[in-house]
Amino acid sequence: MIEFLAQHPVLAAVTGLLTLAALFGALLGYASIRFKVEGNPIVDQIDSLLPQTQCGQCGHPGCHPYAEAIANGDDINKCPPGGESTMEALAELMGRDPMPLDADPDTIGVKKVAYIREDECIGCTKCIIACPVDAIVGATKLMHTVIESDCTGCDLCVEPCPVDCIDMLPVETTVKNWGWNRPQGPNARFEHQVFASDRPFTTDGRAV
Amino acid sequence: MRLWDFHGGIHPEENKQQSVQQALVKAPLPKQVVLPLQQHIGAPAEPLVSVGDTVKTGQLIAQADDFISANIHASISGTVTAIDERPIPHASGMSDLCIVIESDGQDDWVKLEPIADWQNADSETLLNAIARAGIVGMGGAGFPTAVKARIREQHTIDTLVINAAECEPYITADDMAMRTYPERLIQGVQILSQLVKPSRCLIGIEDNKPEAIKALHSATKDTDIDVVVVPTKYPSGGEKQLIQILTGREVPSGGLPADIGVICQNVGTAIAIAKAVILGEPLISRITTLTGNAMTRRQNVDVRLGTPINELLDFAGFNAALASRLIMGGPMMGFTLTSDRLPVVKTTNCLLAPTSQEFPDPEPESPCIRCGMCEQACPAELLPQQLHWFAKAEEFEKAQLFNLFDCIECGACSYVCPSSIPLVQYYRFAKTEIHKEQEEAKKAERAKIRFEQRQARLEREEAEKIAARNARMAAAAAKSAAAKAAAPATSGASPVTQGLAQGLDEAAAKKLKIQRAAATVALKKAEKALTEAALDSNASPDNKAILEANHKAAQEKLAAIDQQLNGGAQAKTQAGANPQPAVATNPNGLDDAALKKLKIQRAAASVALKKTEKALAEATDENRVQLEATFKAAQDKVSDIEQQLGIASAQPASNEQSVAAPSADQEKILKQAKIAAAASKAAMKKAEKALVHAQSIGDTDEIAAKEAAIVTAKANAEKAADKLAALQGVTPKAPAAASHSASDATPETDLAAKQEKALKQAKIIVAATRTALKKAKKALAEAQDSKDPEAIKAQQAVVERCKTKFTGAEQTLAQLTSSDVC
Repeated sequence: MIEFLAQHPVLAAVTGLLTLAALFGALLGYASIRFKVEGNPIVDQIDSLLPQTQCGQCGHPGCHPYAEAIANGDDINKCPPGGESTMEALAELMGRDPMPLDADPDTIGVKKVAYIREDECIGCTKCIIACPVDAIVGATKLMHTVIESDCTGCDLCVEPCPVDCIDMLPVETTVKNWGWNRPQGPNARFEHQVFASDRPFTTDGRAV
Repeated sequence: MRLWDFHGGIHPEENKQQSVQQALVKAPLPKQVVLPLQQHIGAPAEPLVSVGDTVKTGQLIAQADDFISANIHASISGTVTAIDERPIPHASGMSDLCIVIESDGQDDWVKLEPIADWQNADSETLLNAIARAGIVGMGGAGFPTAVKARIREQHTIDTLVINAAECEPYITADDMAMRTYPERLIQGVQILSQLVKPSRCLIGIEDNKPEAIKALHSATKDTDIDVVVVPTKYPSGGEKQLIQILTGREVPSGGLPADIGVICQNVGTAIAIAKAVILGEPLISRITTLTGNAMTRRQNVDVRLGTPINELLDFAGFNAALASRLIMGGPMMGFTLTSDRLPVVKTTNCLLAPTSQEFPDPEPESPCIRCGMCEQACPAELLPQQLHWFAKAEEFEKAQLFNLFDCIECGACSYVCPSSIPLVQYYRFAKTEIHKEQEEAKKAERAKIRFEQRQARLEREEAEKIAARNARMAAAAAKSAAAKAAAPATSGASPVTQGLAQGLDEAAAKKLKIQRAAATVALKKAEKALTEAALDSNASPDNKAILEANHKAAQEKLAAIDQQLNGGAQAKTQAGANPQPAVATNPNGLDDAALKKLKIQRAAASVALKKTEKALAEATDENRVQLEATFKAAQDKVSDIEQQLGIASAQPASNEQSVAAPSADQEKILKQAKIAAAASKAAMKKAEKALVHAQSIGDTDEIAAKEAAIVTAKANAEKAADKLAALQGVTPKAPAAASHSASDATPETDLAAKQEKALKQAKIIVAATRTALKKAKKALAEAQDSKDPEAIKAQQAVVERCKTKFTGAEQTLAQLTSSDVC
């Protein structure tokens, strides 16, 4: 056998490669069974990128279902609460092209919180039922109020309110959540300047 | 003592001399103080006073609300005029909740509670005193000191470092404090040593403060506190940097000095601790440097917290026209204030009012030229340029990978940057964004958990609901099954027996109905036969008698069945829930039906009678006798029916007496029978009279006819008498039957009634045949008288026939009576 192979190097190479192929194939097959991952790990990764407002604006009942939908090929631009950054993160994760958000551009990225005008609340509990994160406290015929720290600003409580006493207010900037702004950058001062023009200039370099 | 060095650092112009020329003075008491509830890191304090309250200096007005929080005390005596949002000295220039106290000008202090024997006091007493006094880190960060002093609970501390470096240009607050209160500082350090129990205690001081060094040396002569003079280099006053200089240990990335067994406290803090423990004086004032060329009196002042900055500026001879801006803190790490209507807070170590020459507007930012000078300057050994790029590109994860959070924001990089890039601002922005993201991630995680828990709860509730419903349904099914099973045994017993009884009753009623229908058919047949016989002039009188008897029997049978049926129906209704109305109403209905039937029968009978009359008129002499008999029979029938009709029509009236009805009925029947008997007797007498009249005339035919009439009248009379007798015989039984009530129309009584009827009929038949026999014999005698052989022969045959009939009838009667007896 060895002699035969030694005399036919081409056959020896083919045999050797076939043997290796069979070996690795068996190894891979074993690994795919032994180290099988239950569920789709990409769904959890997508879910961790979503803002978890559970608002349903994407048309799915919660963030996890939307994550599953994205994993199955749904568009990545359906999450207005997540804004541009979420969409970009999703695009990067899924290896797709970024696309404009499917929402009113004025409302994108504005963090909101529900506020119940407590004088007008009739205590119907409808908003409590609607709230996906149990962020509204109250009881029948008693005033309700929103736990601001738990409110995801999902909007879902506004629709059921029979007396329209719920407002979605932008989250106020306070000393607690204030942050430094981004510096304007080296070119900021040139933004309005015109470097070459036959039009007259003002003293600060702007075109008249 | 060996000193180490830290990487980088800068040597900016110190500018400290301006503010150390004059001694530390007390700033004038403010007319009003504004005390923010948060002057420290951690949770804001909770107000203890309300608007209108009078407070004394040093009184606790807001209490620490969390583990990491600090008390706030009234810094002057007076009245609380407001607790509301006021602008605070913060980089954001925003407002926060403050307590505003209007001074009464007295500066009336609360009674202080010093710890006299503080050297021997336990650490808890000292920590409580520090916490009560609301002391926070005076160097700039404002971390609650009591919390920091508890560090020994978690870490082993071998070195206590007192930060007296005060590296930032312009600021001389600690320098002046050390010069003025060196003993107080040493006392504070000793208290801290007592709490921390370090193996060594170091005071790190830059060599640019010779007077303070001298003062400290003299003050620490008899103590084990080492005063370590370090070379001046910015930022040697940074906690991590000073530790590195003094101990050579480097605080790990993201760690605390305690991780390497070191605790660092500021000079100002140590003095505040000493005051709090030894004098019992809370933190209501601090030493602040007022400097900058826009001020004429550049010096350090001991100022009450909450003092409006504009009052201090007035005191320092601030010239707003000269000032390019107003900075709280030093030129490197301070921030520009948006207004001078802001209070001095616990962390206000310096108010800097530089002129435009001193602090010209920052050069406009230029693009990075990658010179790398920032890296040379960075005391934290970071890569400022890289961090800058990442922050600019908002690649925050990469910035974090490059240890952005180890940046102490000292500003050395910006200071050296030839492109005037505000690097610290980029890092602050990046840190802010990362914090925001982390907060959002935290919130998202929280929302996710809450959402999932809510979903789980809803599912659980739904499952419980379904389970409850299934259980309810199962219980209902079990209940019904149990009821079904128990039905024969328990409560079902009566319905079943009732049903059974009803069923039996119904069956009986059905049987009776069938019998009745059969009887009706028989009656009709008999009637038909009778009428045919009446019409058939050739029919023999014997035949007719038989037919008549048959008809009668059928009628009787029908009546009997009807009676039974009525009885059954009555029984049925009485078995029902409401016996009284049933008795009152039902018989009426039944009686009505019976009445109707009887009326119909009567009509039929009267038709038959008329027919017979007609036939009689047309008949020949020969047939007359027979026809007359038929006529009589028809008449009888009519009268019979009329009798029944009378009974029936009498019934409704008697029925109103309900239970008494049967006996009343019987009485009526008896009465009618009597009447009938009387009528028949009268008819007989009339017939006899007519016979006598006919005999006197001598008309033989007439005589014969009258004789026959008398015979029938007699028979009628007999029949009526028989009936009467029968009824009278029944009457004694009636009360019993009545007591049994109509419902108990038992087969026995029915049978008895039937037998009685049959007996009656048999008797009638016997009577009829007897009369027929007599008549035949009479006719035979007459025929023998007339000597007509033919007539005699015929009459003999008739007599024979009558005889056999009579004997037959007698036999039946005998049978019946014998069965009756049985």
